[in-house]
Amino acid sequence: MSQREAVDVVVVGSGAGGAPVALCLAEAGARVLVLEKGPYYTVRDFTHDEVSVCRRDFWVPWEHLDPHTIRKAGEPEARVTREGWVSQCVGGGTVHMSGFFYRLHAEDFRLATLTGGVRGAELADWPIDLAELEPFYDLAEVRVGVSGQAGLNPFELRRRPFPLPPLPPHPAAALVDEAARGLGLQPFPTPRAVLSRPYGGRPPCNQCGFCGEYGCENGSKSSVLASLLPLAEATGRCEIRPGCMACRIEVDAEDRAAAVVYFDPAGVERRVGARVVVVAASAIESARLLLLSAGGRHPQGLANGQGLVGKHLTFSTFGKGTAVLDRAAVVARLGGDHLDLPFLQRSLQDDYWNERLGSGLPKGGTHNFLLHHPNPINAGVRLAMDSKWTLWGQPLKDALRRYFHEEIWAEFEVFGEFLPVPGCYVDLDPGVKDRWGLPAARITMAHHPLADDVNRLMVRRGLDVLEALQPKPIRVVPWAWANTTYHLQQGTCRFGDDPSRSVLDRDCQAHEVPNLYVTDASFMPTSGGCPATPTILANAFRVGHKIAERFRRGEIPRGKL
Amino acid sequence: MNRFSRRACILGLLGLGTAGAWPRLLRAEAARRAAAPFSAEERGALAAACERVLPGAGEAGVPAYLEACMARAPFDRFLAPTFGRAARAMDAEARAAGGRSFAGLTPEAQDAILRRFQRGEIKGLQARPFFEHLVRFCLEGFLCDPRHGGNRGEVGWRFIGHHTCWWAPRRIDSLVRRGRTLPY
Repeated sequence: MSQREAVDVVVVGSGAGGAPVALCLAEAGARVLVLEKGPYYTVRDFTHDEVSVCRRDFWVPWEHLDPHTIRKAGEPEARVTREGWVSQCVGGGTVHMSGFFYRLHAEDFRLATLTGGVRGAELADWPIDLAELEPFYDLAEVRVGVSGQAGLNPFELRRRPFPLPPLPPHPAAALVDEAARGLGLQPFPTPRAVLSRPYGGRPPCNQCGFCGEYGCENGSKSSVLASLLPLAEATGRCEIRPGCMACRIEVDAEDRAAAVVYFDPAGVERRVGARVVVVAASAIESARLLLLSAGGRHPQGLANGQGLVGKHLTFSTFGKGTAVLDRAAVVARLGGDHLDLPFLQRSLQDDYWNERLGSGLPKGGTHNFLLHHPNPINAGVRLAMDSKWTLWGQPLKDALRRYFHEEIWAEFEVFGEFLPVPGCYVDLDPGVKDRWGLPAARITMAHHPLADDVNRLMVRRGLDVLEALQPKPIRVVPWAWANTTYHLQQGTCRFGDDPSRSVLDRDCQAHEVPNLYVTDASFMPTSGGCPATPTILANAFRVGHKIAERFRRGEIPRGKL
Repeated sequence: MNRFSRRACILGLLGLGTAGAWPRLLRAEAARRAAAPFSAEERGALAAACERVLPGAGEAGVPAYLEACMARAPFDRFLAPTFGRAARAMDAEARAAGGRSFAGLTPEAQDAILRRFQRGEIKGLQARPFFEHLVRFCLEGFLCDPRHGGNRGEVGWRFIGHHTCWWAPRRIDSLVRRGRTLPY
């Protein structure tokens, strides 16, 4: 505690929410310190070793070291879980994302108005609209490198082309196009944060297919680790400090954010003064940090005078279906070339806003068509565990042989609107602590039944497409009807113009604590119908520009403790 | 004490099968397991079970892979005791069926016992979760990067054919920057 270190800006978390802010401010001349809880991996650490990368603690520590706890709404006791983490490393979740980069649609910004409210849900319009965010989507795409084809998604508003052309699709994409168009749907190439051409000194994708759950050893995936953070460090004004666990934010006499206390890699508590504190540690962990910072005039936690920090937690609804195609039949139809390409690269957003969906809620989400991940162990486990009784012995060996030699698995994933409900929130667990002795985040989980209904209808739509494939699939399997994707999390520090109903203002600065910003997905009042990473990046660029502007105008004086 | 460490203690106790003088015994047990998680009998039963769960597992080095995993954290604390007890239960079932050990039974008799595990019909044991863990570790040991000790001679990868998991990681030196991984 004797440290007297001070910088202009401390950013807690180095992922999609933290990196753009760090870059904007370092480029604007501020001295920036980024505290990252996880290790600083480089491309040398990224391999295709499935056991180490996907099945152990490469991204998320074991739950006895770093627990979350989870319970259903109404249950008194929560149990320890590994759910609810985004990866812990420099670059955060962008390092092991698949990089499906859909923008939000105009409807997402005014769901409360458009629906007239949904009984049992706590909908709120966003204080900004798509027009305000659109230039920052453009900026984020250019700065990280996103590939796609503008103009083919009739449901999306975008005025500028993608910086890179779409990735080459697997030949079976033509089959998905044909089936979807036959049903009156409008498939388009999936936008990806993966380079299709050399870009910014990075090589194009080598088509290995190990995107999701893996770090890209090629540097072609547009994680902030590969794209933004090297630029921030190159300014000479941004330091990234890995292995540092922020445990408390301190305020000065005027209630302005003034310092961050953290544990360094040796477990020693240190303190760094700051004129601006930016929290971007994931929706769940950012809320936890604000709650952990309770004290003095903030007995309920920082920025929590209204008791709203941690409320309105949303995830993404999730569904999945698989078509098992006969490889020989596909070859007979399409020829045998390029069947080793890994990406199907097709999406549908016909149900993103669909009054005729038939559920009573017109807001759905996105269908993403893809091939099964090349992970062999995961495929084997899925084959073994798919049915009621575990497959083993010669039947398992035969299923493996068929899967790898005779079948092609074309799948879809559904990402849908997760309606915010009072029963879904995060707070501090009263009993369970992490390895630093800090109370763990406790997730209380509830679904809105309407969101689940919409998701089921969307899964049905996806199955219709798969069943219409020619050649006809050997079988079509609904794998998940209404699940939850816990690593897609939003909403614990809503932004809004009314301080009694939101934690952050429209610039993502805390209403109650000047110079405290939250820039991960915590700000989002509603989840949107697609993975939020590009939205987090775009918003963090927007906020980064606002803070940089305040620095330039000299509006941010140095606080005193 | 948080809930998790309480559960760990309970797991440890069940692994020992005795409640007397448990802290000292637990330490001794932990020390023994760190060196070798399984006794010779347990090892024999588990190797035989692996071969039935995934034919070819022995050739691929799956039993050695399983034992190496169980010797390391966190499985040494949370899973190895369960596997040891399950192995002893397999032998007990084999004796009840008139054999001397599980490994000495015919494949058909072994399968009959494993089916009882799969259905959770073994008393005093969470047999079904154990069986699912066993299937997972067999698949890992068959298809993992050979540096983990399984997939010996890349026999698992040759079985599944051309696949990008074979690709050696390419290194882009211009992108390699400072930084070390933490000893998590």
